[in-house]
Amino acid sequence: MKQFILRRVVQLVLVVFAVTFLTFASLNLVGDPLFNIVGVLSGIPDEQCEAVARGEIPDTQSSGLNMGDCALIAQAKEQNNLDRNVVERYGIWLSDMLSGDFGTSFVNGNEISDIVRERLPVTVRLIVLAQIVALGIAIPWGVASAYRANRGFDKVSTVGSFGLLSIPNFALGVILLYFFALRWQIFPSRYENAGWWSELQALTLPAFTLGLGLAATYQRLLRTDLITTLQDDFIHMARAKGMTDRHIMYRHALRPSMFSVITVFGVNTGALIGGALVVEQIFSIPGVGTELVEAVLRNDPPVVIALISVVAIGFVLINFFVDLMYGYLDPRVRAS
Amino acid sequence: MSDADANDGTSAVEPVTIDDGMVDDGMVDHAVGKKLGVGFWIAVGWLGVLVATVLFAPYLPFNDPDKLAAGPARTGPSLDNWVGTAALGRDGLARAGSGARGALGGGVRAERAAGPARTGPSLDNWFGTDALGRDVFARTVYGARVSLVVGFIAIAFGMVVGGSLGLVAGYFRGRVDQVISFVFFTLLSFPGLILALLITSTFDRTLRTVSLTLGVLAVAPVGRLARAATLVFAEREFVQAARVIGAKHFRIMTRELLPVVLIPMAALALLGMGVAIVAEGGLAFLQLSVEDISWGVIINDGRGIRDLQENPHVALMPIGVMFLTILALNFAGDRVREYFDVRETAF
Amino acid sequence: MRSQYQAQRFGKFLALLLALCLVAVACGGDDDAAPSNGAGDVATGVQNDGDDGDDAVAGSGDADAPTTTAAPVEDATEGNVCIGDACDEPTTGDDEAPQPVSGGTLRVAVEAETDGLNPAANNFAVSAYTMGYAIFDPLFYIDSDGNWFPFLAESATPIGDGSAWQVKVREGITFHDGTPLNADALIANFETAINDPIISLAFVPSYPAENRYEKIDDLTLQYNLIRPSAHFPVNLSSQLGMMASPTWLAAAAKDDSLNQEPVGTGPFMLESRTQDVSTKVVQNPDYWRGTDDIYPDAIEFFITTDTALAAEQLSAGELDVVVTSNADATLTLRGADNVSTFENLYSEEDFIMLNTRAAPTDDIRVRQALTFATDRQAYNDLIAQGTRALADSMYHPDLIWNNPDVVQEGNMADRAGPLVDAYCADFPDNCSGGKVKIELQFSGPSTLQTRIMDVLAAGWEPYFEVERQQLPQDQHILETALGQFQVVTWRQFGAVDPDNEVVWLECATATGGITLNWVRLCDENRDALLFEQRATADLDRRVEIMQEIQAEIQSTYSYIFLTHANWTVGFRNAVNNICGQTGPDHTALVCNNQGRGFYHNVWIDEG
Repeated sequence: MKQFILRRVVQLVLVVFAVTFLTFASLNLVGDPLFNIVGVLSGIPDEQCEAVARGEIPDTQSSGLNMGDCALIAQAKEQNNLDRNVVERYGIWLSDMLSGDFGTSFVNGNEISDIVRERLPVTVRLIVLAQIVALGIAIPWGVASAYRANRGFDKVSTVGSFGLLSIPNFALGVILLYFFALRWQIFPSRYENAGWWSELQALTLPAFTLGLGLAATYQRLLRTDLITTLQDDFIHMARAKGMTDRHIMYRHALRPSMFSVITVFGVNTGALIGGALVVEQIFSIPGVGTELVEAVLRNDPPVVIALISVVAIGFVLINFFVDLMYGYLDPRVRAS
Repeated sequence: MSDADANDGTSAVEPVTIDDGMVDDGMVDHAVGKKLGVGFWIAVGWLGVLVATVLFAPYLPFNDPDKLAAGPARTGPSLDNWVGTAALGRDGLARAGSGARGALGGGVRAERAAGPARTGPSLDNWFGTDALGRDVFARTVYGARVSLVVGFIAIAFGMVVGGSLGLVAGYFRGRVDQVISFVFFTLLSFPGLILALLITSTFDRTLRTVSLTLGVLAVAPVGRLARAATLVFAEREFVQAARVIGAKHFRIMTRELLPVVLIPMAALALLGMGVAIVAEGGLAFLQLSVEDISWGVIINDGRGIRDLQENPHVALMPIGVMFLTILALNFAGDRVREYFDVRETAF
Repeated sequence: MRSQYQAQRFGKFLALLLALCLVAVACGGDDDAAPSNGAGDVATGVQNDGDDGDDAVAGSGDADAPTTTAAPVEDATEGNVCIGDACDEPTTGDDEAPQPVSGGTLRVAVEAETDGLNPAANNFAVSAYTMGYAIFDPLFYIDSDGNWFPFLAESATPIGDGSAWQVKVREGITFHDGTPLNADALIANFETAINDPIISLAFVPSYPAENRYEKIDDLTLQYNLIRPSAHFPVNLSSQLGMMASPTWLAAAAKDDSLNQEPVGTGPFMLESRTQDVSTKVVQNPDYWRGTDDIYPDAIEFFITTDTALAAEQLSAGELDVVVTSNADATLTLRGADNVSTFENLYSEEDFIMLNTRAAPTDDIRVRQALTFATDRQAYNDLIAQGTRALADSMYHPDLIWNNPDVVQEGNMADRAGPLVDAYCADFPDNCSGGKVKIELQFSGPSTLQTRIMDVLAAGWEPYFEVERQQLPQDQHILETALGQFQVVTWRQFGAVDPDNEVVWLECATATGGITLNWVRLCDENRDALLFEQRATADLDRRVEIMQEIQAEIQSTYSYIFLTHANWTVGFRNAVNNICGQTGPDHTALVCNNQGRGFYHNVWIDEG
C-alpha cells in the first residue's frame, strides 16, 4: 500500500509539472507576452529603441508614441524576464507560485491570490452541490431500475437517462433559467450570497444543470453493477433470511455496487469543472469559470495561467484521492 | 485478467474497460444471437437523413440562412439589385472560401425572401425567424454542417492519434507504455473545455483549429480504450501465434490487433462524436468557436432573455435537433457497445 | 521577484489598454455600442432642447460668480421620455407629494464593469459614472435647465478673455479618509490626470506645456488654458471634476489595486467591491451636505452585461434600477409590469467610422460607396427596433445645434456600383472580383455586435468583400486609436455643449500615435471654427458654427451616422424620485444624462 501511494504521489507531482508547464508555455510561446504587458508598444521595432538608446533619435513623438516607450519596453522585458527562455521563466514563475505569490493581473492590478480566494470557494460549492444532486438522484433511481431490471420502469428510465445524457448542459441551463427563474420565478436568476440560504437558492438551478446529466451517468453505472451484485450468493442468502427488498437493496447490495460510480467520480469532476465554465456564465455566478473566461477575453495571461493551474491541480488531487480510496476498497489494486 | 493489473504508471481508475468475458468468448461468438434492435436503426436513420440534408442543403429549396428580414423599408432599388446580384451567384462566390460551408460544396442557393424578424414557425419558415428575420430552419441546417464536421474530424483525429498511441502502448508495454500513459493522464488532467478554451483563445478560431483542438481532447480517452483493449488482446492466442511465427511488430499491430481493437473503438467513436459536438456547442456558446454558424452559435444567439420570451423557437429548435442528434449518437453507440459487449464507458 | 514599483507602472500601461476601451464603442458586454465617454469625457453635458430659452445665468448664488452663458434648455426633462405608471405620480413639491422613506439598499444594475474607480486614472463610462457619482462629488454639475453650477466648488471666475479660470472650493469639506479638500487637492487630482497616458489625451491639448495652474490661496486654484474658453466649468462636471482624496491618489499611484477602493467626498463610501460582480456603497454619516435627504442606507451596483436579463430581474423585484442602452432591454422594461422608464432619446450617436488615412477608405469614392450601400433602415428596424431615432448628424433634430439640411445618405445601393467600379479600375490590388476588399473590425465576442455586423455586411456585400475582424475589446479600441483599422462601428458625441465635441474633431488629436480624432481627418478650417465656438458666448454664432461643421463632416464621408442612442433608466414603480435629484442649495440636477445619474435622493416605498 505504501508503495502504491508513493507511486501515485510521484505521478501526481509529475502531472502537476506537466500541466502547469504546458499552460505556461502555450501562453508564452503562442501569444506575445510583451504585447500582453505593454500592448501595441510591443510593435515598436528593437532597432528603433536601440537608436533611441544611442541617442540617434529622440524618444518622443517621432517613435509614433510619446511616453518614453522604449524605457517601458526595456522595463517590461527585464521585469518579466522576457530575455530568458521559457523554461527559465517557468522556473521563476513556479518558485513564485510555490511561495504563494501568484502575481498580479496585467489588466487591473488585482492580486491573483485574492481572485482565487474569492472565486474558488463559489465554484467548489457549485461542484459539490452538483455532485450531491447527481448522487441524490442517481442512487434511488439506480436502485429502482435495477430492482426490476428490464421491466416497465427500467425501460422508461433507460430512455430517460439517455435523454438526460443527450442534453448539452448549456441548453439545459438556458431552459432551466427560462422556466424556473424567469417564467415561474421559483429560483432567483441572479447570484446572491447573503448567507448560506440565499446562496443555496442561487446555486440550485446551476447545480441541477450540471448534475442532471451526471445523475444519468451514475444511474446507468449503478444499475449495471447492482444487477451484477444482485446475482451474488450473499444476496440470495439475505433473501432466504426473509429480509425486505428495500433492506437488501440499500443495506447489502448498494455498497459493493458503487465501484464504477467511484471510478468515474474523479473524471466527472473534471467534466463538471468544464461545464462550470458555461453554466456559471449562464447564471452569472462569480466563480472560477466566469473569471477564467473573462481573463481569456481580456488578454490577461497571469490570471489565466494561475486559474488553469489551480483547477488542474485540484482535478489531479481529486483523482489522486479517488485512486487512494479505490485502492483502499479494492484489494486487487493494492496488491499490484 | 484485471485491467488494473497491467496498468502501470497510470491511474488504477480506468474509465474505459473491456469486459473480461470478451477475452474468453471472442467477439464474433458473442455477437451471435444478438440484435442491434429497431432503436439502433431509427437512430442511424436520423443521422443519415441529417447528413444527407447537410450535404445537399445548397441544392434543396431551403431559405438563405444569411438573408435578413424583408421589412417594409427594404423594398426598392436596393432590394432588386440584391436579388440580381445574388442570382449571378454572389453566394456561391462569397462562400467558396469560407470554411465548412464552402468546403462542403457552396453551390448557388435558392433565394427566397426570409420572413420578418421574430416570427414563429410557419410554412415559409419551418422553425420561424430569428431577431434579424433569418430563417432558423436554414440556419439549423447550415449550422449542422459545422457541428457535424467538427464532431467528425475531432473524433477521427482522436481515433488515429489516440488509437495508434494506445495500440503501441498496449503492445510494447514497459517504458513506452509508461510514457504514453503519462501523456494520456496529463491530457486528462486538463478539464476538457478549459483546454479547448486555452487553445482557441491562443491560436485562432478556424474550423481546423477548433476541430483539432477537440481532436486533442479525444486522444486520451480513445487512447486509453485502445491501450486497454490491446493489453487484453495481445495475450490472445492469435497474437501469440503470429509472434511465434516471427511476424514483425508492425504487422502484428496492424493486421492482428487493429481489427479487433477497432470494434470497441467504433462504439466509443459514436459516443465521442456526440461529446465533440456538445463541446463545440459549448465553445460556440462562449463565442470562442468557429466564426460561422454552428448549433452552439444559433442557440447562443437565441438565448437572450427577450428572444427566449418573444421567440423561444430560435433557441429551442436547434436545441431540439441537437438533442435528437446526440441522442441518436449515444443510442447507436450504446447499442454497438452492447452488441460487442464492451463495458460501459465514461468518456 | 517583481519590484512593486515596476509592477505598478506596467499595470498602468495595461490600464491604458483597457482604459481606452471606455472611450469606445464596444465595451459594454452585449451592448451594441458600449458606453463611450472616456477620455473625451472632459466634455460632459446635457441635452439642449428648444432654441428660445433665455441665456441662463450660471453659478452659485455667490455674488462674485461670473455670468456665463450656458446652452438654454426649455424642457425640464431634457429629452427624457417617461414611459410607465410612475410617470403620472405627483412630483415633489406638490401638496400630495409622497413622503420620502429612508433606509434600505437600492439595487442598481449597470451593463459593464470598469477597470477601476479612480476618476484621475481610470476612464469612466456610464457604469463607472453611475458608481462614481455616489462616491465622488464633482466640482461642477449641470442643473435641470442645462446650466453648469458649482457643486464642490464655491465659484468659478474667468480671468481676462477666459484663457484662465479661477476655481474656489467650499471650505470645511473633507474626504472619507479625513484629508481636507483644498487647492492642493485640486492640484493632486489635476497632476494625476494629466500624467495618465489616456485620461490626459482629451484635455492636454487645451493646456500649455508649462504653468498649467497657479495656486491663488488655500482654497483657490487658477487653471491656465491655451485658448480662451467661455465654457470651462462644464469640463469639470465630468470625471475630471470628480475630486478624489490626494492621500489615496498618491497611494493608488504606487499600488494599482487601490483603484478598486475609491476615496471621495460623496454621500456614500465604498463598502465592498468584487470586480465583474457587484460594488456596494454605504451612506457616509459625515457627508458635508448633511444626510437628511440621502435616503438609501446603501446602494449596490450589479454588473449585468445582459441588461435584458436585468430588466427581467427588475420586474421580478430582484433589482430596483436598470441603466441600459440596449434596445432589447429597453423594450423588455417598457413591457414589464410595475416598471417605468426614463428614456433619453438625444443621447450619443451610433455610427460607422471610416479611416481616412488607410487604404482603401482613404479614397473618398470608397467611403461614398460604403455610405450609399449602408442599410440604415435595416439597422434601425432590426437592431434599434424602434427604440431610437435614425440619425442624420451628431445632433438630434430637436436640438438647436442640429443642421436640418444635413441628411445622412444610405439605402441607395445603386449609387455604390459605379464608384466601386471606378475605384477598382484605379486600384485593382485592393479589389477582388469587382468588389472592394474591406476589413470590418469589431469587438467581441458579443451576440449583439455580431448581429450588427451581419446587418451591415448584408448591405455592403454586393459591392464589398467584407472581412470581419473580431478583437477583444481592448485591442479593438487600441487599434482604432492607433489608426490600424478601416471600418469600425462606434458610439460617441451627444454632449450638451458642443465644446465638448472639439476633442473628437480637432487636428491636435488627429495625428501622432494615439488619436481621439479616430478617423484621422484634420481640417484647419474646421479647427478655426471649433475654437471660435469655444471662445464665444454668443449662442447664435455657436449654433451657426456647429451647423457648418455638421455640413463639413458630411462632405468628408468619414462617418456614417446610424441612430441616436437611447439611454434608458428603468425602475420599479416603488422607486421614487429618480428624476428629482438635488445638489447643493437644492439645485435640481439634470436627470439621466446619457444614462449617468445620481441616486442620492431616491427612496423606495413598497407601500
